[in-house]
Amino acid sequence: MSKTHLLMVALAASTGLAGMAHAERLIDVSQVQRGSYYAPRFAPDGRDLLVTGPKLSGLYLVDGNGGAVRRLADDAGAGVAARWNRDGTVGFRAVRAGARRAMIVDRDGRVRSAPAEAAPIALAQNERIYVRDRAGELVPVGTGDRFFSPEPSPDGDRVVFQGLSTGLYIYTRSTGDLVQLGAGTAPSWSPDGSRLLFELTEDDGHEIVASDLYLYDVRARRTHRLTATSATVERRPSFAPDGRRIAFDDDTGGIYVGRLEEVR
Amino acid sequence: MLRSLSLAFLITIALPGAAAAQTTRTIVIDPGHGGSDPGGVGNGLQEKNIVLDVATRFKQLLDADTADTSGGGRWVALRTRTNDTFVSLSARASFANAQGADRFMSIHANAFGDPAAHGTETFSFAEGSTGAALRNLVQQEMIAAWGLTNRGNKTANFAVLRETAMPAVLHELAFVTNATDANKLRSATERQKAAQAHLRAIQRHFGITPHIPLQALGADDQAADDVVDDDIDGADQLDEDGGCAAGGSSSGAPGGLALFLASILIGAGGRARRSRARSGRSGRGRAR
Repeated sequence: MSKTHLLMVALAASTGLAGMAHAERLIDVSQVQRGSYYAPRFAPDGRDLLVTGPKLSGLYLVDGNGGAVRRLADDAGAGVAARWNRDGTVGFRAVRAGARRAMIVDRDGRVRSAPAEAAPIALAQNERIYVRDRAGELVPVGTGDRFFSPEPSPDGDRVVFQGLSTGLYIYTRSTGDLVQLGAGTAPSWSPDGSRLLFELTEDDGHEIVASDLYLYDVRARRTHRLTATSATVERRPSFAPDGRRIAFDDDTGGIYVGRLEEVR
Repeated sequence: MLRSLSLAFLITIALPGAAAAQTTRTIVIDPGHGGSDPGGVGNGLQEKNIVLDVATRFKQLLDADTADTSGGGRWVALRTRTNDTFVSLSARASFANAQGADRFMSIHANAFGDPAAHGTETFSFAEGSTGAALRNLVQQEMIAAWGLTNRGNKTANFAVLRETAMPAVLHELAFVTNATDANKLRSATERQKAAQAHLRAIQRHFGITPHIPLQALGADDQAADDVVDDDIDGADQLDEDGGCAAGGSSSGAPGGLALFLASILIGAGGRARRSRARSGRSGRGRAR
């Protein structure tokens, strides 16, 4: 089912901060895969997509042009922290010998242990976020909530993280600024770190009843709404390496790709 | 060498479940709804307050079980919310995934327009899974603890079941909209029994001999009672087991070791004496 008929608009977010000068809208949306796939992530080549299955089980490679799906790994929970490496392999975590370990899988499904990881820029511990400052010391960031899932920007200067009840935050290491974006989940950095995609869901306590995608401009500190659909539950967005296309799922197993166009 | 082996054998015999208890498991407890979302409402009860109280008691039992070296398991017990706050389903699942939790246990109470709908039910994402095995134990223990109508072990595509990477269950304690069920939900003693049922279920799930830790409940137990009893008119009269008799507080709920020991005694007798008055009556489906 094509989604090109869906109304995609750039709207001011509820913060009221949005200005149209830097707004972007989502166009040319098309479904590239249907089935039971979630959380698409563009490969470094900008064509194929890494996806996971229900309950974040397994890793699969989807041809961005609508081709076949190939299974890369079938580990439970493999989709939780899966990410592309620059060399085209995929890093993920899986249980081996009773412990959760960092693994790497290549495009042919060959899995091996990952080399030791460098000291992280940010980490979560005891429901707090610690970010490494310029001196290399880990300093606590954020108060008033229980925090998790720190994710550094590609250039390493910013860290987005989540609070259970207060939503998304961005901490800038070079300035020490902390900005609360508000409600949202599933944040994903643009390749140059200047923008952040995220989802804003609505639920009834059991089901996700609605979700739309938002784009945050880091420098302008403005949030733009990318989708405003009632028929589709857009979720788990991510950028392509060119920073102009995005991928997302519809919460029922369909994978979509669209293009961002600047609104002047 | 022989002496060491003999000692190990004796320890194994003396402390059933001790070997399994060496592994620390992370359990994310998920009290449903919260904040602007009260969940089901009926008979003066709000689902969000009931389930937060049961979740808090369950966490306290897991913490006490970890501290009790005479048996049971070792747990890291986390909650998706610790007070009356709205947390989105997406954030709940993301939180559990980020913790690398071993199990996710969501606690809810049911509601329906027809007040005749009643009973206990538990959900997993799919049949034949580890989550389904835990689901069956939670349901079994809750039926044994409360004796309400068994609405069965079910599957559902609920967000927290689908989006969590670990085996997950969602339990519906009872119906706030049914008068008989509401009496269970209203009682602090019954809520303690529900928390104990969850503890027994997770212990059995991991092959640990069910073990109720002999440690007083935490200091915030009274606060958890207040959260529920604020909703209730005439709670003292209705809380027949654990209410105003012990301590005479306005909350109608005793705290600490006295409640804990009393609930064990009451629980043992309660299972035998409680009848299944509505066992032949079918449920009316989910409210939501």
